[in-house]
Amino acid sequence: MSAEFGEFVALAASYLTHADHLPIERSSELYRRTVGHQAADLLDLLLAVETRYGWEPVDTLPDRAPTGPGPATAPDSARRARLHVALAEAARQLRAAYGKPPALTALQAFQAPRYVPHAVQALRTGLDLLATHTDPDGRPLTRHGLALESTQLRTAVLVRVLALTGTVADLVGRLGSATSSASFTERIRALGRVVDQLGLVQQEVRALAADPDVRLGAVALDTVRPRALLQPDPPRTAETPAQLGTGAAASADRLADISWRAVQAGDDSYAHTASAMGTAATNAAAVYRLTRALFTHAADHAPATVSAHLASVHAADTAWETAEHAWRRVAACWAPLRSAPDNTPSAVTAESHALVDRVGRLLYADPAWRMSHGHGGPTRQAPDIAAALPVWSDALRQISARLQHLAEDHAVLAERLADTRRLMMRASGPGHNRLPARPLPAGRRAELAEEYRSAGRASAAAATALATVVSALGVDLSAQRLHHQLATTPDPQAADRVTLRRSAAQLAAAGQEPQPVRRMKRGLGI
Amino acid sequence: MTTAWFDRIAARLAEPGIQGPLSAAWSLANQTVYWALAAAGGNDGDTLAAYGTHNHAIELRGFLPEPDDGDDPETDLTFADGRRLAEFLEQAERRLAAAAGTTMVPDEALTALVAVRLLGHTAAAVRTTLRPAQTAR
Repeated sequence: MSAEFGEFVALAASYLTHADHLPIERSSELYRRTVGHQAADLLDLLLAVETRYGWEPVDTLPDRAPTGPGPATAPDSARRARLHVALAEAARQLRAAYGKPPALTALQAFQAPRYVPHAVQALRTGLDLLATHTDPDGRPLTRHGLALESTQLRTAVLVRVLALTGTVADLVGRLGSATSSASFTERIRALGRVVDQLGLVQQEVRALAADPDVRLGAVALDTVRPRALLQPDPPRTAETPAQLGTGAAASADRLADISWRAVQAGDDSYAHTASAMGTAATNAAAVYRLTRALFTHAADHAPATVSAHLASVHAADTAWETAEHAWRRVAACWAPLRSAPDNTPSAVTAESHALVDRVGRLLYADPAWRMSHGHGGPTRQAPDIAAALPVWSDALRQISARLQHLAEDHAVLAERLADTRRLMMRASGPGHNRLPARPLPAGRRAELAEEYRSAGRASAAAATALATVVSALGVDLSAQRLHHQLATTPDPQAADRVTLRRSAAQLAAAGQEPQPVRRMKRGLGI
Repeated sequence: MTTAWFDRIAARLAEPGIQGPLSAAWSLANQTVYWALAAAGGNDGDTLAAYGTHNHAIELRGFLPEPDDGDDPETDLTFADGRRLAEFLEQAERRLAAAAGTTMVPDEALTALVAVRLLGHTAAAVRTTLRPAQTAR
């Protein structure tokens, strides 16, 4: 089989068709609950696809103008909003209907039906295939990546993937009719609501699919293959401070997300090795070192209006220094430790390098600056940095907050490694005094946990200090709350407000006075 | 103590075959991890480059096979020992590059060739760390 996107979706659909033959009516309630949870997983994935391709506007990605009318201003935005609400509601109801996932024994897990999980896996593989055409920030790497930014192709993804909701609705309907009405009236009602909502989803998807452009897009989409391995990336231009700030915050988000997932799902991916967590700790320390250097640099060159606020920066400097020291102590704790396995390529290492390099490139003019280049190089032009001060200082606050979560999660993961005896002290000492490799002594373990606690506290304090600075600089935090609101309830009006606020923030970053925001607030009555 | 350790590393680098240089490179990487953390903590030299050195050394150490019997004393290298450390890292780079061409075991040759590249990065990072203390201007 050749690897084309359409084939993976077809494979997922055929697995779901096989699910028609599951003996749902004549099996136990535990079996039905297992299948219900599998269907809920599938709906969650469909919802993630819908949010990514149907709603997330392309112009949130840095350094690109929107390629066409964004979803918020598209003529069918009301339809998309209805689709999103119905799908989200269906996913929520299905989760609520079945409560916590059943605790299966190893044998039961082995015997559980696999059609729906196989469908999820096939669909994920197809989406991964599309993702090879963009970099982790969503910027296109190939012509296909550029095409995937067009509204037609994004809608085609939506239509192609959400067509699977039909089979899911059938499956949920069968689950509902097989559930005993005497003991599970509430569940039957919830499952009925799920089927209704999925019906609405299908109706909206059919309406979206009627567009001839989308039909053409779907044909083109089916033949997308993964990016060829040795294809060179298009050359990148140097990023502006605002883009770097946003990118660094996104890196920190992903770093925290990877660790959170590992904590939630059980650490079987081997991304969190001793060397990866040690490197992440060093990079966190370096982020605080760079934060201090950045603010010192900005304070020297900022215009008088801004530098008045930078008095609060000097107060915050101690907090950042404390955080740097705390993370360095964590790294020192990791130095004599090794885990099994230890040197696998790790997403944690890669993301933490990306984070610190971006923060460094805020300060240093070299667009390919790496941490081992050190402090020596020429720094960025002061007016550039000062103009984007609100953007990157808020990004640094976000990063600090994420590092706090990272400290908590890595502490849990380290405990887990030690519990499963995968964490060892390296052999050390000369000649007769040589100590062989040995399990982690209790004292070392307690020390590591304590250092993570203090790093978490210090990061929280640093985030607070940065929040003070950020508020002194007048960054509009309510814009972010609106973003969040938009993600949960996609109200087209809220989308308009976010677009307005975003352009106002861009104006402010370009050195304009932030009055437009206030004027717009009055005009819109926010 | 430190001089004795450097002498032992030099002896292992000079051993025929590839096992001696590999274990010497591992010891050098291990010491560089501690040295870089101490340099960053003491605010000696270029602190950011010290963090970068630490990461390179971690990568190098994870990549090389950890020796079972090679002695690995916990020396306390001072900041001033950095110059010798860099020299030894470069020496190990040259020695492994030569040894990679003579070994008959494909795995060892591959390990040596990758280690050569990482040793070069680490040595350069150590030298950058040794620059007089600098902050952003």
